[in-house]
Amino acid sequence: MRAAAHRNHPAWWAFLAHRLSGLALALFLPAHFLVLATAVEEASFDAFVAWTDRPLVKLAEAVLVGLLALHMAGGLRLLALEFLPWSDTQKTRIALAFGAGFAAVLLTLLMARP
Amino acid sequence: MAGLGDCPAQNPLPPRERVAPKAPGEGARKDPGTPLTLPRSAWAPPSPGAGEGKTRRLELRLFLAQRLSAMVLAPLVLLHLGVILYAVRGGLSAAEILGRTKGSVLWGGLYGLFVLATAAHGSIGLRAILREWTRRPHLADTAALLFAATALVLGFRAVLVLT
Amino acid sequence: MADLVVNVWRGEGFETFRVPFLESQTVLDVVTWIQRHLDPTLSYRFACRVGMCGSCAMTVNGVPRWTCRTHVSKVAKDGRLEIRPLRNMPVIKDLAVDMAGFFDKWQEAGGRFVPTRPGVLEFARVDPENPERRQASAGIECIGCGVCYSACDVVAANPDYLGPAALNRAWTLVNDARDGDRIGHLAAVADDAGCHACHSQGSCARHCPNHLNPTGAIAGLKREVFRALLKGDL
Ligand code: HEM
Ligand code: SF4
Ligand code: SF4
Ligand code: FES
Repeated sequence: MRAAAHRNHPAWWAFLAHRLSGLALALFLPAHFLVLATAVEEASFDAFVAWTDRPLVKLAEAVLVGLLALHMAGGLRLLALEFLPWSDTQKTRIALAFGAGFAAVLLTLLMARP
Repeated sequence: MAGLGDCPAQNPLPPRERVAPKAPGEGARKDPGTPLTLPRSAWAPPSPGAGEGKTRRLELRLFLAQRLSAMVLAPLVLLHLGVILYAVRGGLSAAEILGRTKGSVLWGGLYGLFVLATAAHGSIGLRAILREWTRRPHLADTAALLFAATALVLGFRAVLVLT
Repeated sequence: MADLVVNVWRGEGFETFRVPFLESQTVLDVVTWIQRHLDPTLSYRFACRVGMCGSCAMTVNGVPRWTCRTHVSKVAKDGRLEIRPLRNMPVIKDLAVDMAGFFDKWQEAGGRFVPTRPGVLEFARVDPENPERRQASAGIECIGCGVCYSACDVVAANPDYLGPAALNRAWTLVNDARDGDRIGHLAAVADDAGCHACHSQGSCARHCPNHLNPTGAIAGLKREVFRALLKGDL
């Protein structure tokens, strides 16, 4: 992608990751509310949980938790950038945000082992 | 190279007369006594954006709403992530979740706040993304309002069912 | 050394030129060589050739740069250069863009020094080391080249957005103890399409040839607007 060479730097990738994770969360959220309420209401929640008990669904859930952690860490980084005095450690903060996302994925996968 | 003869440096203008600065009225050299307290509007034209801004500034309001909701969301999400990690240890069950949340004003309040904050935060975020990536501001506004309405209805239904 | 293969934007597409490679050659040298030796109709803009006037910026291999201070050896890929006009500004011809809109936004951003009330005689005592003055001093090194503006994706998506250079200019004035209208400057940048449109993508700071930090300046503006709102000044 030569035309987009000006974008290839940490802060831009952090922006894209934050935007896409936010988008994914926003699309997932109504579904999450819907499924939760419907399943509990119709007492089919445990059947639903059984449905989610497959490796692929588990992985997807872990990724979603990871996206939430990533978006939160990236968002906190932005809030610090916008409301606290400028600091020249932006790259470190970006790395920390990505780290938090991956840590959350790993943690969820480990904890969710039956 | 042609044209160097036209160079203004070689044909300097006649020296200009120095004009002493004149202030309105009595002249610049006298201190009128009142320091910088006079409102700027009393002596200078309004700067761009001033005045009319108070009624508009929609983007600023949305910016503040999104940052405020993000500040509310951060601790709630942290709590929620903690609960997820705690809840999935022994496998999920409806009974376990309901046992925790049923009749609890605290959980009801926290999750209600969560629904409010995400509806605001997510819809403003979606609006920004759609504005920039589709360049159709009306589509972005409509989609954002739709998202907010959906998230509020489904979210509060879930909170009601769980508590 | 083999010749450079240079693809130059000519309005309807690229035209390929072969230019001899020289030691310490700049991208501006290459463009000039093409105009002098191959095609005198090639249009581009430059003045100082030493990185002061800000008129020579172009997009070189996908990245906006000041061409007079960019060495070919640093940016050529396998002896190839692709030279296009700056992004986000209307092209006049070939490599020359119309920067009028870019500079109009400096006015819209309130980027004009406002003197204190006429007749005030006290000198402003400015400590060059105080934090505000250091912010202002960093920002005034801008040469108005438009590289940041061309790098910014928010400008690309929202043509009304004031952009990094104009907002950086406003930030220098907000930090200037001698300026008479701090709140007016903040009001100008708090308008729609002002500093709050920025997503801190940092492409401006990444590519500014003078290593200015418009991202930091814009974050500063957001912060000071917020403060002024809390104080009820805005
Ligand atoms: C966990 C706490 C959260 C924090 C601290 C946070 C923070 C932020 C911040 C500061 C922005 C502004 C980015 C910008 O305009 O440059 C943002 C954007 C966004 N957020 Fe969040 N957020 C959080 C949770 C969520 C959740 C739960 C959702 C799902 C509904 C979400 C969806 C979005 C979307 C769609 C955007 C727009 C992204 C963009 O404009 O690039 N966020 N978030
Ligand atoms: S930091 Fe803001 S102004 Fe600079 S390139 Fe990014 S979005 Fe544009
Ligand atoms: S801030 Fe830097 S890149 Fe932008 S116009 Fe000024 S000198 Fe050029
Ligand atoms: S020609 Fe003046 S900055 Fe390049």
